[in-house]
Amino acid sequence: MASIISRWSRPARLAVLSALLAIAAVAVTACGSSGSSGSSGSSSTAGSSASSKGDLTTADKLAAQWAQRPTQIPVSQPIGKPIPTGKRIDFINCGVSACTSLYKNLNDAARTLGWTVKQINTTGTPESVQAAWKQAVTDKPDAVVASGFPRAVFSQQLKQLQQMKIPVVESSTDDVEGGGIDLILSKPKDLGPEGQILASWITKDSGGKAHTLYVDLPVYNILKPVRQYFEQNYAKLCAGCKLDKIDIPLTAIGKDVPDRVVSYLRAHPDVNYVAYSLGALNVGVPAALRQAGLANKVKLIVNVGDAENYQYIASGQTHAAMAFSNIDQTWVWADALARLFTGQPIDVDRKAHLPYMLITKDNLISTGSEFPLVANYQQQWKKLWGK
Amino acid sequence: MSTGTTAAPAAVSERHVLAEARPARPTSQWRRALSFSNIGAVYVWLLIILVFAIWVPNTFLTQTTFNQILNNNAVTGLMALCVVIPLAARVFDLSIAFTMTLSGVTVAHFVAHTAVGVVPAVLIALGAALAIGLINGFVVVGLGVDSFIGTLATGSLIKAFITMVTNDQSITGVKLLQTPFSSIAQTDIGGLTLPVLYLLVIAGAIWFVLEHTATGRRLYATGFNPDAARLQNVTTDRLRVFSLVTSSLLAGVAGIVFTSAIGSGSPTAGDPYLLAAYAAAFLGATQLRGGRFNAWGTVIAVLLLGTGTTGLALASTPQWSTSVFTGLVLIVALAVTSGRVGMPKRLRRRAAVAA
Repeated sequence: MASIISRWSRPARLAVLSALLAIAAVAVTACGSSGSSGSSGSSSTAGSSASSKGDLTTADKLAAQWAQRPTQIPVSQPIGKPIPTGKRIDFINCGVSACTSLYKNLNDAARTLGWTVKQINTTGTPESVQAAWKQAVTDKPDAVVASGFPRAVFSQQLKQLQQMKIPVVESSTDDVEGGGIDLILSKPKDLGPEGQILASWITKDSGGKAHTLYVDLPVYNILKPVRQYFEQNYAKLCAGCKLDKIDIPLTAIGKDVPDRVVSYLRAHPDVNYVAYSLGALNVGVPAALRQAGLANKVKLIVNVGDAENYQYIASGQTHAAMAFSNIDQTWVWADALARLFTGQPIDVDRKAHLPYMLITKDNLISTGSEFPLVANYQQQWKKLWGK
Repeated sequence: MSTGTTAAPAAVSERHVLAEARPARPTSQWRRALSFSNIGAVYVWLLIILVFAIWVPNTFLTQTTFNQILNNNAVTGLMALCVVIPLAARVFDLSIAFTMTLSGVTVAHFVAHTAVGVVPAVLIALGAALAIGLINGFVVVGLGVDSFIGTLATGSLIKAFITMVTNDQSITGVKLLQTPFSSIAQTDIGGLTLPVLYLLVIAGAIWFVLEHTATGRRLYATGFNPDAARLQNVTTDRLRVFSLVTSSLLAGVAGIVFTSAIGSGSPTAGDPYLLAAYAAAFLGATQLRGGRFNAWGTVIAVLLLGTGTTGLALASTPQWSTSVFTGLVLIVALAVTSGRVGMPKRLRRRAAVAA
C-alpha cells in the first residue's frame, strides 16, 4: 500500500489529504451540532419562560444563607470514651494537590489524637493505585484513608483489609459505603449544596436574567453530580434564564482553557455569567478576558475555591466562589476513626453535612492557600474528643 | 536518537557536511521560496484561515481573533523556541517543561513571599534555569548520557524538587497580580501583550545566531554529523552544552512569563507544553530551511496550530476536535512539504547518489 501511494503524483497526494481533512471537518461539524448535551456548546433555557418573583426571593434567601460563615462543626455528639493513642493510619495520596492538602490536614487531626499518618503516594495510574493499596495491606495499619479512587481498582486489597478488620474511610467517589468501606464523605448525594450555591448566586446577582456558560471537566466523575445539582437549581431559581455548557479536556488545563472560554464568549456575546465546575479551570481566564475586552461583560463564579481564585476575587477579577474546606472533611474522618477505635457506630459521621460557603469579595475570609470554614473547629472537635 | 531521517552514509565527505551547513543558493529564489516544499504549512495555514472565515464569519476574521491567537500562543511559542537550538545540534532536552515550572514557582515565591523586588526575583529564577542548563550539560556531555534519557532524568529530579518545596500547592500572593510583576505578561500594546514581543525578539535572535553566525553553522554541523564536525575542529561538546544552557534559560523565561500571565506559581505549569513544543519544532523544521530546525518555521507552526484551536473554539466544536485537528494538520503539513527533518535536501540527494 505504501509503495502504491508513494508512486502517486504530488497533486494526487494533496487531493487525498484534502479529502481527509474535509471528511474530518464534516465529522466535527456534524458531531458539534448533534445537540447532545455536554459534548459541545449546547444551550437550553432553564424553567418556564415567565420569570417568577418567588424564585428570585428564594435565590436571594439561599445566597444570603450560604454567605454566612458556618459556626458549627458537622458532628455534635461527644465520643464519650477515652480515645486510644498510638494508632497508625495509612493515607493513600491520589497524586494531585487536593490530596496532598487532605494528607496535611489529616495529619493535624491525627496528631491531636496521638496518632501517626503515613502517606503512600500514587501517580494516579491504576497500577500505582493498586501498588499503593497493596502497600497498605502489607503495612497492616489501624486504618486506611483515601480519596477519589474507584473501588474496582483496589477491590482485592479492600477484601484483604476487610478480612483483617482494618477500617477504610474515603471521600469524593461515586461509590457506596459497605463491602469494606466504612465511610465515604463528599459522595454524589452530598454535593447538592455546591450546585445550589452556584445557581443561587447567579440568580440573585443577575436578578433572574442570566445567560450562563457552565464550564465542566467531565474526566472527573465526581463533578457530574455537581453539574446535575447546578442545572436543577438553576432551572428552579432562574426561570427563563439560558444555560450553555462546554466541556474541557484534561489536556487543556493550564494551557488552552482561557482560549476556549474567551472564544466561546466571543461567539456567544449574550453570555453574561461563567460558572466553573472546578476552580482550576479559571486559572489564566481573567487575564485572557481582559485582553479580549470581555472582562466587564461577564461575571465569574467557581466551584471549590482555591488560593488563586480567592486572589482573583480579592482583586475583582472573579466574583464569587463556592468554598469547601478540606480541613473540615479530614477532621470528620478522624472523628469516625476515633468512634470505630472505641467500638462505636459512626452514623453521626455518615450523616454529617460538611460545611459550605458562598464567598464573594464582601465576605472573603482569606486569600491564603487554605482556611477552615468553621473558625474554632479545633476547639469544637477537641471538646467532642475529650481533649 | 533518530529524528525520522536516515544517517548520512560515510561516502558523504566532511567537507560536504560543513559546506551544507551554510545556506544553499537556489536557482530561482522566488519560485523556491514560495514552493510547497518550502512553505507548505503556510498554505495549510491559509486554507485553515479560509475555512474558518467561511465557517464562523462573524467572529473569526477580526482583529480580536488575530490578537487572541498571538496572545494565547506566545508562551507555547517560547517553549517551542527553547528546543530549536538543541535540536539543531541533535540534542534533546526533555526537562524544559520542569525548568519552566521551576522558574515559575521560584519567581512567584520571591515576589510573593519576600521583599527582594521583582527584578531580583526574575534574576534568581533565571539563575535557577541556568543552573538546570549547566546540570543538563554535565549529565549529557560530561557523563556522556544520551540527551533523551539524561534530560528525562534531570526533569524527574526537578519535578521532585518542585514537589518538595511547593508541596504541590500553587504559590499565590497579591503582589503576583499587581504591577510591576503582572506587567511582564499582561501589558497590552494595541491589543497584543508583551509575551508576543518576547516571542518575536527571541525568534529573531535565534534566527540570527543559526543563520548568520559561525556558531549557528557549527551547531548545524554538530547536528548533521558530530564526528565529521569534530574532525573539522568544531568544539561539539561545548556547543552541545551551549544548546542545553540556552534551552533551559529560554524555558526559564517562559516560566516567568507564564507565572505573570496567570498570577500564581503553579507546580504543574510546564506539563502541558512539552509535547506541543516538540510538535511545533518538528513541524517548523519542514518549513523555510529544507529540513533544518529553525526559529521562524517554529513560529509559523505554533501559530498554525493555535489558529486551529481558536477557530474550533469559536465554532463551538466538541472538546475532542482540537486533538483531531492537531493530529491531522501535523500529518497534512508534513506530507505536503514531503516533510523530512534533520538533513537538508541536497545532502539527502548526495547520500542517495553515493549509495
